[in-house]
Amino acid sequence: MKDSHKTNRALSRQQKRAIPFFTVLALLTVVAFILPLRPSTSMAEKRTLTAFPEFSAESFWDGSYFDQIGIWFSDTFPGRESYIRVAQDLEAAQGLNRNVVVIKEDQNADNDRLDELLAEAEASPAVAQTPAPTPAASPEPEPALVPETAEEAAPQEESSPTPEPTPDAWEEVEHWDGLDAEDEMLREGTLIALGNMVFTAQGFSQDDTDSYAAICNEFCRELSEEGIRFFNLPVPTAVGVLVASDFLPQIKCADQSKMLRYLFSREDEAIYKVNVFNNLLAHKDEYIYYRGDHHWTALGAYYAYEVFCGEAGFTPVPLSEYEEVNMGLFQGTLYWRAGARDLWEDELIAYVPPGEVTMDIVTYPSLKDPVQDRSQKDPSSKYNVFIAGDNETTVLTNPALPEDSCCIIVKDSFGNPFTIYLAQHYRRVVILDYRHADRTILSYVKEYQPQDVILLNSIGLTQRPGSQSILTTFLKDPW
Amino acid sequence: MKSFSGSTCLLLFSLAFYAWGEPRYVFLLMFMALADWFCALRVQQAAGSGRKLWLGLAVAVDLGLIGFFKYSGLICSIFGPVPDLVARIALPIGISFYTFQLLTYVIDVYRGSCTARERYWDVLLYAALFHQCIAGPIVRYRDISHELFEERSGREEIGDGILRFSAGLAKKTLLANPCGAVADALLLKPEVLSDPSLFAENLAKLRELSVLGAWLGAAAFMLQIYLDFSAYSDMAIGMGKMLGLHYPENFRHPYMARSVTEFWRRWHISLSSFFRDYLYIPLGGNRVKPARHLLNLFIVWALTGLWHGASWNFVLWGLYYFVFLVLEKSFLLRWLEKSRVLSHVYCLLAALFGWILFHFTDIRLGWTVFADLFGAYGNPLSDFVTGTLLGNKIFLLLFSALACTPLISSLGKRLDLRFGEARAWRVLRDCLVPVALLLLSTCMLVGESYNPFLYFQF
Repeated sequence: MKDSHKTNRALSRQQKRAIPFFTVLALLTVVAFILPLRPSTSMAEKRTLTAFPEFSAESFWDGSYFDQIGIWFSDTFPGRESYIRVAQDLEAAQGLNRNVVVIKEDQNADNDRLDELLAEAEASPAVAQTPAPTPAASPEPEPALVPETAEEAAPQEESSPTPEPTPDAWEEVEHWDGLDAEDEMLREGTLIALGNMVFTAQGFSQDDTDSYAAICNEFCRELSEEGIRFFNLPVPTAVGVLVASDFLPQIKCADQSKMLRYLFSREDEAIYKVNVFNNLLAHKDEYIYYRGDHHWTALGAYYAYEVFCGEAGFTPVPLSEYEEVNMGLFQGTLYWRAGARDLWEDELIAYVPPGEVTMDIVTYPSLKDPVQDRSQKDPSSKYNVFIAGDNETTVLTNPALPEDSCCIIVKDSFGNPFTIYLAQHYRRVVILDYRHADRTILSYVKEYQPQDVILLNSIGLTQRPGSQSILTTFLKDPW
Repeated sequence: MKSFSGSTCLLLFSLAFYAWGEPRYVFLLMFMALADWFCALRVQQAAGSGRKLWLGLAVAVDLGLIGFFKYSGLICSIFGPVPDLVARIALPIGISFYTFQLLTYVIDVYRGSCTARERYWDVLLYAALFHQCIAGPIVRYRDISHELFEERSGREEIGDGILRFSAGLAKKTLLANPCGAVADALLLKPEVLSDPSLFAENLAKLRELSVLGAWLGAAAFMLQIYLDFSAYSDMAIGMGKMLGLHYPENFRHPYMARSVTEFWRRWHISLSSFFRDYLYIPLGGNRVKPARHLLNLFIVWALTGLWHGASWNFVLWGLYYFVFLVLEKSFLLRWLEKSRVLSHVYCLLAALFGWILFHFTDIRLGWTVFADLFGAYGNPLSDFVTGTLLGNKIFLLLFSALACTPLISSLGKRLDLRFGEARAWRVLRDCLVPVALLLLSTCMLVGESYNPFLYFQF
């Protein structure tokens, strides 16, 4: 009797021990199957989460259907971002938390050969195959098409001080200072975090660069036949400008100044090559890249615009003629991916253009301001301040400028703050995000009759076969 | 299993669990169980040479199928390029584990250590038990049949089972996976290493490893493989306890061993004891002439290596241990007994070098890393990436190393002895710790797109 009592007591104690565990397990299970709680997108990662897989007999039998369900289950787990935050904290606790550095396997394939390839390429530059468009076809470059309203608003001497001369875009810069091993490195992930900045790693691939140059050459050929000037403006990413040149190899990143020179050496002479690297480098101590986002700031875009003006024959409108607006706290893509630390928070500063520049987006006709007021919006979506984000076609109109002046800019998201400056030189700036376009560039050219076409991509996208493929389709629809 | 509905439920869930990973191969599992069920009954009923015949048939079916699904590619590669048809044969999950379990069943029936099951479903349940079907431990039929089919001990240890399970889950997600990430960062990922088209690139990358990087990568892999595999055994044992089933311990802190002989008494115990009882002793064990004894050891260790994967590096890995065991039996053990520290260092180094052989299916890559350990290519002692990786993961590595020792479990036992009846301690141990480990593991698993266990493919 006594033994039986003891056994029952032990049993009861064991079963009591099970209650909290199974309660939590049951709660997790119930919550996991409340489908409306499952997120479909991730604000933090700016991506659509894995969708529930479609059934097929083949995927069922080979097990991939169930694998996909598993991925869907974890990728869209209710409250996943909270769990991920805890996981990131746990990861940060794994060590002294100094650092960084995970490099994609295929991202730096040719880093070590860049010097050699550049020397070869510059010794035998690409042969000019395309006659440059006749000057008559381009808009009148001088005097600068500064809007009348801006001129009227303030006398030239007061409001438009002579801008500092931009450095020679083609001068070879061998070494520069910047963030390096002396700066605290903060964590590891798919990112590089140095000091108070988070970067995405950037390597060099010869094949991808060559194929991007070939696409640019093809653009140039197509457009030159229409008498249009074609500008190529690849945008250096933050790691290439802000990290000391000597430190780049240690984090397996390529020298972007050399990457750009290699790319341009593979391009036809007829292409207007806009090398913005040196001007960005000259201003690297200013706020030209976000700390926690992969984009450049509006100020960084302005310095690229200065170089563009030099190539296009325009006089840049001084930044002082724009109205600086602070949209407040900005928590960019890398801020979230790197684990959301205050250190990587930004503030989003935009520059409202002088004059009556208006915006038309086919899909959002009510949005008229090129600089949208998003000061009260979610801190992670503030980059959409510039031309309301990435849309297929956006047209900026500056009625103060001559009727027929028009350019098309084909861009990725780095182009968003940049496009606003162009409205001081073209009556119509047609902004095409090729990733959303369902027509070819020539059909847009036919519709808008531009004098200039500008291709603006971040250097990261120039190296990515996927975006090259979209760009190729945009150039010539194979169907 | 007393309750019909209980055993049916367990069988259905076990088959569904298996089918989740490999729907088509659930039929292979069912067929192998059918063959062994049928043959075992015939073995029991037949007399004289008929018994051997049925046993031989069962063994031939089991080994023939595992040979076909696991080793066809390796066998074909001896004669030339592997035909596409053969290369496309996918390895059924857990086939190495459940095949060996079924072999123990039919052989034990032959030996008279147990009786054959009348019902096919019973044999299928034994082979498909979801706790251990796909990654062990290899549970012998005679060790589990009583609890599984006759008299289970009930729920007396459900709390212990929960604690063991949650500790295993946490060991996998909080320690093994991050150690694996360190190993992958330095020694490259298995899927990258197994791509022949990347050989030259992989070789170049591995040659560039710093000396510290090579040691760190090998040590991280050494930690990962133990923590990962033992975590799975912990979970299986824990889940078994929740249902009143007692599975044998599979690991006893192998990195605490002071000789390779002792290491193998502590590492994957269910596999080494299988080879001992079902191969080594039937071959004559050590009660034969020295040359035959040597041959017996050679066969056992070559097959132990081969069991781990269909690649020659695994065979070499097995034979690598054969050499150590022969040396130890000859003279080395006597030397090792003289110094606890040196013998421990020797055993750890032997295991670490062995894991390099194990990790690289292309032996040339493994050799490169081995050479890197000693700076044979003029490698720098350290570099930036290794230094920062070590700094970032230093607490992880130290704690993982600690988890390889008995310190944590003995600390738990001491606290149990001291505060066993204190309510606060019981709440902490029984409620908070398992729940916290479950939640932390969930955090680590959520968002990871795919998180396979290393031993699924053995």
